[in-house]
Amino acid sequence: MSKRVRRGSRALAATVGTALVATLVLGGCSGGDDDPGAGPDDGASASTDPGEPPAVETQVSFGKVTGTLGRPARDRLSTDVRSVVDGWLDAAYVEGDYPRTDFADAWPGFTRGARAEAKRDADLMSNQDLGADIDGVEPVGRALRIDVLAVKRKPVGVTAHVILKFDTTGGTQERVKVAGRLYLTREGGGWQVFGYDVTKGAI
Amino acid sequence: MRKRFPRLLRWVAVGAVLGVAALVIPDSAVKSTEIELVKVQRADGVDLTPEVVWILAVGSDARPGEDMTRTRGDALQLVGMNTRTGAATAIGIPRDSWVPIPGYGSSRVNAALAYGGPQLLGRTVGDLVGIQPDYVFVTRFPYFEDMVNEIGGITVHNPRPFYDENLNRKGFKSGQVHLNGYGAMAFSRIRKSLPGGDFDRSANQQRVLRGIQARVRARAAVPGFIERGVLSVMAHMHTDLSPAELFRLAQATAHVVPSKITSCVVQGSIGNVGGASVVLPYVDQARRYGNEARQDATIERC
Repeated sequence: MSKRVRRGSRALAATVGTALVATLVLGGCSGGDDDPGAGPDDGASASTDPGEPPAVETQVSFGKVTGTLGRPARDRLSTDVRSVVDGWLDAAYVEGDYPRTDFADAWPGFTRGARAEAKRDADLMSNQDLGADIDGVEPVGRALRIDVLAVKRKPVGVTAHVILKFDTTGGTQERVKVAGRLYLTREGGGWQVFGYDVTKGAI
Repeated sequence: MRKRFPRLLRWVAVGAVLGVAALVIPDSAVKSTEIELVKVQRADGVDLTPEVVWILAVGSDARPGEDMTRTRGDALQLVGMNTRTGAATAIGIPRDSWVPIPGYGSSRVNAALAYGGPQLLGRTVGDLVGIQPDYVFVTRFPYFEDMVNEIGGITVHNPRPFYDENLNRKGFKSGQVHLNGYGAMAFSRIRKSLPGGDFDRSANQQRVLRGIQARVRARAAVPGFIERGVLSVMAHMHTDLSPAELFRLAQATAHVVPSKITSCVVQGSIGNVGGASVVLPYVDQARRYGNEARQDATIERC
C-alpha cells in the first residue's frame, strides 16, 4: 500500500492548490447566494526562506452563504475559520516532531466535548495511527470551503469543508488524504469546532 | 462542561429533523497512475450537552388565526437523541391519553398545551414517561407541510393500506410510499380508518419522523442544506433558541444513525370519562420506556 512520494515544489504546490480549489468549487458550490462577487480568498502568499521547501497554504473559498453577509464580514470570517482549521490540521497532522506518539494537543479550537470525541477518533482525527512509523509529514495540498449560515448579516454557523493531502516519509511512505466537514459556532468570543465528519485514508 | 443547552424547557416549532450526514469526499486533485483502492476510515461526532437530548415534538391542531402554542397538541412524540452514539428513539403518546396535568387535575394529555403552553405540555408528558424534555417543538400542520416540501418530500414504509374520506380519499398503499408535505400531514393525522386508532396513528407519525430523518441524512452533505433548514425552522416556528443553538441542534440531529433509531407507542385501554372516550395509558409501560431510553436513547423492545 505504500506509494511513491512526490516531493513538493513551488510549482507543484501551486498547481495542487489551484486544482484543489477548483475541485472544491466545482464539486458542489457556485458561490454565495447573496453575493456572487465573493470569490475564493487567495490567501497570503507563502513566506519562506530561500532554500526552504515552500509552505503549502490553505486555499480558502466560500461555498453557500445562506442569508446575507457583506464582504467585510466574509473577510473576517474567512480569516477566523481558516485560523481554526489550520490550527487543527497543523497540530493533528502536519506539525510535530515525528516519529510522534503524543497527540494530546491535536485539537485546538475544538470545544471540550468535540475534543473528547476527536480523542476517541484519534487515528482519524490526527496522525496517531501513523505517527510512530514515520519520520516526517510533507503537506502537498490543503483547501477550505466555507458554507455559512448568516442571520441579521452576522455569521452564526459554519460548515467548513476541509481537504488536506500530505506525504509521509520514513517507515511508511504514502500519500494520505484527510477530507470532511467541521461544524463551527462562536463560543466565548471565538469560532470553535463542535462537530465533525471526516475521512482519512491513503490514496 | 459548560452547559450550552440549559435543561430548561423552551419552545420552538419543529421540522423534527433527525438525520445523519453522509460525507461527500471531493474528487482528488492529485492524479496518480498507480491508484490503489484503499480503505477510507470515517469518524464523526458532535458535541452537544447533554449527550442525550430529549425533544417533545408536537403537532398543534391550531386553526388559522389561532396561537399554535395555546391549542391542543394533536401529535405527540418524545424523541431522544444520543449525540455520542448516534442512537435515537421516539416514544409516541396517544393524543387522547388521560393523564394528570400539573395544576389542572386530569384531562387528555393534549389539553396541557391549551392550558399552559409548551412548558406545561412538556412537563405533563415528562411526568408520564419519567423524562423531562430539554426542548418542546411545536408546529402547526401547514408549516409542517411546508417544511416537508422544502426537503423534497419523504419516503415512508407503510405496513397497511388506509385512507380517509376527508384527508386522502385515494388512500395510501402499503409498502414504500413517497409523500409530499400534504401527504405527510395526512399520513400523520388519519386515525379513524386505522385498526389500532390512536395507537396506529402515533406509530405512523413515527414512520414520518423516520422518513424525514432519512431525507435529511441523504441531503445533509449538500452545501447549504443544513443552513437553509435552520432558516426554514426559524421562519416556520416560534422559537427562543438562538440561531447558533438551532444550528448546533440541526447538525447534531443530522448525525443520528438510521439503523440505531427505535420507536414505541405507549399503549393503553379505552375508557370513558364523563361520557368521553379516552385512552387510559399504561403508565408502567411508559415509565419502562423512559427508564430504558433515558441514558442512551435506545429501547430494545416495545
